[in-house]
Amino acid sequence: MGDPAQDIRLNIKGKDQHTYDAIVIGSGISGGWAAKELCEKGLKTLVLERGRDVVHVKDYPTALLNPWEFEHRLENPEKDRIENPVQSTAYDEGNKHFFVSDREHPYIQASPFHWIRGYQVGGRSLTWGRQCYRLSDLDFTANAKDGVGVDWPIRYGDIAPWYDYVERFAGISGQKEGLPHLPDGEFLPAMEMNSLERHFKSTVVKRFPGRCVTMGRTANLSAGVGGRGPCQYRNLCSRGCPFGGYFSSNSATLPAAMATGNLTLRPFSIVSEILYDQDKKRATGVRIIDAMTHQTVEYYAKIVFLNASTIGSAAILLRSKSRAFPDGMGNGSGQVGHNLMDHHFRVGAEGIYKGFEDEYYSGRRPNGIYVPRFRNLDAATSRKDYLRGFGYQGIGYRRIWMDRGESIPGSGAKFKDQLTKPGPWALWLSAWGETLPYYDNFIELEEGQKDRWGLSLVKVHFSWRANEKAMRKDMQASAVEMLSQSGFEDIDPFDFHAVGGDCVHEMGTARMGNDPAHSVLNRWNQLHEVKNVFLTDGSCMTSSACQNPSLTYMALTARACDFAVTELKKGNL
Amino acid sequence: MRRRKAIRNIGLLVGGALAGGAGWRWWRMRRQPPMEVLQGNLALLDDLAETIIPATDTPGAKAAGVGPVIFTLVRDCADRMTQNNFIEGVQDVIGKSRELYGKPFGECSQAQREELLASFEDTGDSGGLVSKVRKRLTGASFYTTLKKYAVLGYCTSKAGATEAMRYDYIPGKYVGSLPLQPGQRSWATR
Repeated sequence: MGDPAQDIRLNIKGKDQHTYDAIVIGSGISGGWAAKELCEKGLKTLVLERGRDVVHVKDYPTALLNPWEFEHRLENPEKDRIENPVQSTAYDEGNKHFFVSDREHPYIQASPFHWIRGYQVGGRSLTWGRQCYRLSDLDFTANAKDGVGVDWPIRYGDIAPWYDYVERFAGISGQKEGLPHLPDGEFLPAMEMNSLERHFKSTVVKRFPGRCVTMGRTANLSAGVGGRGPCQYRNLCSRGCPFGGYFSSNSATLPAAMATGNLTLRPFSIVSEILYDQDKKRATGVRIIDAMTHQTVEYYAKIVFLNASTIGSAAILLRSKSRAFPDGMGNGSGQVGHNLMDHHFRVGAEGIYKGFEDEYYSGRRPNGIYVPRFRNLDAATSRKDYLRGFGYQGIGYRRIWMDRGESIPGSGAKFKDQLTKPGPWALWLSAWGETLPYYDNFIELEEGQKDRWGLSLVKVHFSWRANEKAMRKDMQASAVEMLSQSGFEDIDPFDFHAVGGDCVHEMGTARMGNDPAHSVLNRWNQLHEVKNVFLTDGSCMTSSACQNPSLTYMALTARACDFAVTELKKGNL
Repeated sequence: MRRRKAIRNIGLLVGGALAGGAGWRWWRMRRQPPMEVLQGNLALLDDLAETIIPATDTPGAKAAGVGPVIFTLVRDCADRMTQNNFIEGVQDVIGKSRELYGKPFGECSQAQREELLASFEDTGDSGGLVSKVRKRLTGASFYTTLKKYAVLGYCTSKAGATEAMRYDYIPGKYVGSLPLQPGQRSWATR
């Protein structure tokens, strides 16, 4: 319980305590980018983060620990499973300090939904999966083509240069493949495949014309970028990387923003609402509750970037009620909080490969292989049973003690010998599938129940529908098919029936669209109804595609910041 | 309110009927586990782990300090039924080694110890669906827990990871294909 004032990294050039050019709410992947872009464009920027500060390297207490230095050897105690039933499904002893406490931060599951959160500077950019894939026009035109939800107000050409821009700064390693539906990027050198992965790639390409197996595209730096990295192949990323080996707000965007002298970062700042001036039809600033002192403070700015996460940002809009917006700021369409999506996953197959017994690998690669979407690309690949598609992430590996220790029978010297030998080769193939936007998958505020700061709890309604269920069958069957066609044995199909939120790819609660009657944000991520408020986190997503989405948030954020500052200079905001 | 109470009473009746047949067993599995039994048998836990993973040309479980780790994991990470099964199993080991070999487990030969553990292994969880369902209803068996935590404790220990296997603290690079040398041990981490 430190003095919050001591944790504020004050901008030494700033004079007025409460007025800035811009306010950014949230410091995760998209908030960090907004901070960097706005500060670099010369705006005095206040970043409000509801959690504690986490300083790159200094605040990574477990980053250099060996397995034997953890009391429970990275197993979660029962106490964690009972007290943190949601977050403990996502954390272990090594990174638990980057996840919230379910008890301190309750929400209501009207239907099962795991809301995995990290309330700290850097948010979930510390613990993210780091896979980075561009969306394409297959995705941007999908809703219009299928008559689902609303059409995206942008096309690939609008965002492509911004993908280039953010990839160059973030550092994405990957292999160019020339696929129209998974566009290449500005890549650092791709990581290496191992023997089994190369075998899988060569057989899939041969037996399944049109399919591709490529190296995972990841925000792990295979070569140093701007003083960060390179990756040391420890595969302990989610503890925070002391080598700056992967992209996070803490390692990359926030230091860049800080270097401009224009950033003020205020941790422990829970935004209760965005303030609105009905005459000017503009937001004037925000009201926060200091998480430690419970004091209310107001800050003012010309523009507000709301980057509090898909559910968090929607909740802030819903709380920002005024005479003009009785149902929440920018919610004339009634779409705020609705169309919640998450990728559905944890379905696929694993197989054993008999061969390559005299080969091994070294290093712990924080990345795997990727099989880009191959369904519903065109007439030849179209499916009658579902819309859209999925991609596979995979890993080829030799089994070790943690995969097979308990299944080796007996005890004694022979058991020990088996236990410590490299086991058979296996390839794990798991699908990430697109989810359609449904109006009645949504969040709302439960006015009768408050958190410790007096704010209404979020209540989540979510379920998978027929399209996801039909796709899921194919996600499993196609994995089995590719493995069996590639000479694998003992193929074990799996489906762990993930609930919504498990993938931590929440999207869609303030969707972009051309028509203010049916969407919340315009083509510049600007609230249709309040021109100086921008949302560029997952809430803006009009459809989910099947690609891991963070790279798209980065690109949309940089693009929206560029637009906002241009408009500001023109006097339009 | 009255309806809810009625439902609760029905629950009690059903529970009571089940308990009537196997009440003692039901209680044994769910009671507050007598952890002091384990606390007083840390040396036996070391011996049990050493039986599974003995010293060879590399350190065994005892030298790797696995006994106390098993205690910590059973105390903190196992559910209550698994804890009770485990403590009961430890007491069974004490009784059986006296019965079969006339001496404490720690004084038995490695062959005798392995034979004794094999008798537990045969009645333990076999894996598969039946075993999964049973595990949910009654907790994991003594042998399953012992082996799981002995393996985990050993393979994450400094001696196990760095001497019996290969451990690279900061690899610095990934090489996808390397020839495996004869007798080469597996990586300890992934």
